[in-house]
Amino acid sequence: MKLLTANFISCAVKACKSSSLSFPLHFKDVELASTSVPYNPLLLSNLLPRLDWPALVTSSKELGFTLPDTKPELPRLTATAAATGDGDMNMDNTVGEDDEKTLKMLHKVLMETEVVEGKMVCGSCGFEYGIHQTVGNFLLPSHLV
Amino acid sequence: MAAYEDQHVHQVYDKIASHFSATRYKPWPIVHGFLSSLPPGSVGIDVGCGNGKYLNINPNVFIVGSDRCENLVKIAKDQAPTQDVATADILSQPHRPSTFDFALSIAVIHHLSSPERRVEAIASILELLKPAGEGKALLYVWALEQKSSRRGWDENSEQDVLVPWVLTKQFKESSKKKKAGSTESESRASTENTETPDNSEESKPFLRYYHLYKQGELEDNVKSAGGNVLNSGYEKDNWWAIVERTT
Repeated sequence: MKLLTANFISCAVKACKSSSLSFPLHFKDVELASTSVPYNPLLLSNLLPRLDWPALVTSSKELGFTLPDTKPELPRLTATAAATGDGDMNMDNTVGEDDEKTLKMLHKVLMETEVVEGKMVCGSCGFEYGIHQTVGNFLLPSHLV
Repeated sequence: MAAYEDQHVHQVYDKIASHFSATRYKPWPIVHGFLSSLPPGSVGIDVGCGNGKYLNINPNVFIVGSDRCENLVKIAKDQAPTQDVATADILSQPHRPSTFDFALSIAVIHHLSSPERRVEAIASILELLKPAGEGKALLYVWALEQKSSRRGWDENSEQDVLVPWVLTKQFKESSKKKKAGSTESESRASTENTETPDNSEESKPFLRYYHLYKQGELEDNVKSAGGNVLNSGYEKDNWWAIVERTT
């Protein structure tokens, strides 16, 4: 599971959905790996506004990373009109050195950091979800459904 | 109901995962169009993602795919390194409510075995979307009206059916080990529900439960779930609808 994904996951137990303690789930006993995936500044710069930054800082700490306390500011890149949706987009804007550094950092933390083994714990009900071979298992035992 | 689905949906997919995956490589045009139209940075879910064939259509969006079948989820994870996946049930999803720009649920809702559970499944997707005007979902279900398909069902056929799946030889022994990538070329020729004549014990077909949707029924289910239908239609033996929340 990617660190990015933890920003969109909460406890699967219905009674926990309304509790602020059910998000983010808390990582425990994790084993991490870095995977190499294509760098996509267009995606990253547009994803940034969608992130719950305080939750991301919390999740990062649990994995041993330190992120800035406040969300970095980045220009939102756009695809050129010439791009025809075949995935081969050209950026019509260039980014400065600092922005590039921020984008690379986000890429590494959000996209390339994988929790291979570990647990995610709900701060509301205490249920522990297992992560095995990078895949989180959110199936509930029947008494919690 | 849940136990019935466990036997006639979940356990079947767990056993047929690699063979099923190898027959699922061609994206449907409506789904392709929906995904391609999303702006960069959109965040979505693919509920019942199967082997993950829709996760890589648009590289500029982020999708968390989920499926009840762990074996299919593992295949999806390997196929979509820039996206993510989870094992989850459609009726107890781990996603944050009111958060997603889009959702997909392709060929999933027809596996729930009562009208109440199908409506609940749609409601459980709607509540994860951003409010009306900001979030939308594409739902896709198998149609009852498919006279020209090889199954030949029409509007007078039985709607609740068990559809057999026969594993072809190469998938019988290592159905859990093989990955889609390694078997794709050799199984291009095989199609869903291959009727291989073989009398051995293992070739007994797996029976999957389906509720075949009648014209208008998907839209009715969406309304019962508290959703609003933006657009809907028929594509290749399936009914589809693009929906949003009413609030």
